[in-house]
Amino acid sequence: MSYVVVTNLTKAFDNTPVFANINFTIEKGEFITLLGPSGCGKSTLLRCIAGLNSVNDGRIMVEGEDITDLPPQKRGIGMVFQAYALFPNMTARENIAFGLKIKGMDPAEIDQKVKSVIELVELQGREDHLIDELSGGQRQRVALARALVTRPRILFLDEPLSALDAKIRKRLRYMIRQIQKEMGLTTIFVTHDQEEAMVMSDRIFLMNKGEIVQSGSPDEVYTRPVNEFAAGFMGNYNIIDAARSRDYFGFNGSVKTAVRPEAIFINHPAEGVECTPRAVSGVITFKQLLGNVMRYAVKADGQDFSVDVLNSHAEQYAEGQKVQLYFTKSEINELRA
Amino acid sequence: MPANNKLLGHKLVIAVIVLIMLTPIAATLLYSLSTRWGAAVLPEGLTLKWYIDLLSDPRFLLSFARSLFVCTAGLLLCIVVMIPVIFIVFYSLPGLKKIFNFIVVLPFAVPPVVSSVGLLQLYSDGFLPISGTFWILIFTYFTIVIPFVYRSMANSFAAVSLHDLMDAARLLGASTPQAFFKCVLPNLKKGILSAVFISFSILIGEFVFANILVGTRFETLQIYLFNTRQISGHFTSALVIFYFAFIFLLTFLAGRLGNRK
Repeated sequence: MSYVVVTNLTKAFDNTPVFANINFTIEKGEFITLLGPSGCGKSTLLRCIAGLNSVNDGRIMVEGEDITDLPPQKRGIGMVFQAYALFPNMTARENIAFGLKIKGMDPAEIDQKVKSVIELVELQGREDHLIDELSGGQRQRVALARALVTRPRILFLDEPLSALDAKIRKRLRYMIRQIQKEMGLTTIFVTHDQEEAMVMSDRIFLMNKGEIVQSGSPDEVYTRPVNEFAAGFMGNYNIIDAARSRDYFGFNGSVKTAVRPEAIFINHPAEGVECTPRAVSGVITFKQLLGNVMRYAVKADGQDFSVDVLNSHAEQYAEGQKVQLYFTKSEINELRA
Repeated sequence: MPANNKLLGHKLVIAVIVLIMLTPIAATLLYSLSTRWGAAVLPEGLTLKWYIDLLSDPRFLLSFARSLFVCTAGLLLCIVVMIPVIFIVFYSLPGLKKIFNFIVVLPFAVPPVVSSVGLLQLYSDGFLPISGTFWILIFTYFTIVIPFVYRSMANSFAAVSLHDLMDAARLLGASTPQAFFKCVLPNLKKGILSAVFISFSILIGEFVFANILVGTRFETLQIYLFNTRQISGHFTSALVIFYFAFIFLLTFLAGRLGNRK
């Protein structure tokens, strides 16, 4: 049996459904990301599993124990919040020690555990400061330490990096992933940032409008979107309608397809890549340098395509130039309606 | 230097306002310290006699003690009742905020003279016959300070992220009361202190309710002031200055306590 098993979980606020019949399992030590746009129900799902919100139906099992009706105090879940939720009346050290004190642990043991977790999150020298006196990144590390020190069965991270600036965010996500791996901690991370999700997760649960649209490894979810929403959310996919899909790729029926910008080639396919037989001709309308990649907008057959080419000086195309587009055969994704 | 001139102008305005506000207090202080001040521009001599008279009058000391007692009791009752009420409103029944915002202005809307008649009626007989005792004053003072206590505590509740703090504490194993008392209440200290001091200052200066509801049967500071107003202007001035000094001390302490970490 899996470490965490969620079956048919259903939640509504005053008859407005948030999510319905959510099912998934998580193995011990996995890092799972609930990814989705704001309002998709991912935070509520997390809060329901934590016991902070009630559920209308369904079961939550952890280590074979049914925790659906347990109060949050007894679930063994540690949580880091987007807005830190640190206790302003306490120092960093007191915040971290709070959970252990409540449990009535021996003060000497508390001291020792708090000290080692402070080292783990690299907060040495800041531990006796009040929360007001710490920076955002430091506050979030205190929050992380506070959750870790109680040795939770599952660690929940509810958009913990969203309030931080880019540089600190990158450092902290690396730190979180390192610690999670070291401790073998089963973790559920909530974010709306697909890059963050891909960098950190073992598996991504992509959510939209209260359902899990797709779940899988970051690579799977990124390269094999199952529907238009997944394609739009995970990358800068080109969505090709059913008529053109039949025409270009020989698909039958009425499925749309999605192709990543880096799976389309201009004028000649890359060596060793099998492309579909039919090339589509078009005109470059716009080019944009993204650093390592040059992004071309190509108008072909009445549709706008976005094509990414590695930025090498060998090949450059000018705006207004007529070109042929080739599509990598294995990268054409049929989308579910 | 236009910038300096402007600053000077600002200072001048402030100085004039302060002077206008201080004049009556300064005059009262001087009057309370003078032997006689009638015929000339300046008093004839200075004395502490009025203060000695005042502080050696057992009736004064008793009335002061009575005032402290009913004010403290009314205020404590209000804080003890209102903290859980405000917590519940903010934590689990936020829909009631609108109703509370309306309820708390009611004590202002009804003039004391009117509501005291109602209170007398309510407490004369029936389930709680406490008219004429200090109890009625305590319960009335409780209602008077509700708006001040509610407003300043509601502001503090709104300023802390109540739900996040409660959630965090509960996930760490704290029961709901533990979470509230250890993780939320200490952060409301400023709001509670400011509520206490403003309410206390208001209550200790309260006259209408005290006079109508209990009158001479329970002589508070303000009633004593009223009853002894004929004795001597100097004596009354000394009493007023004493009262000012007390309020000033309270305000000063409030500031000190509020700023301390």
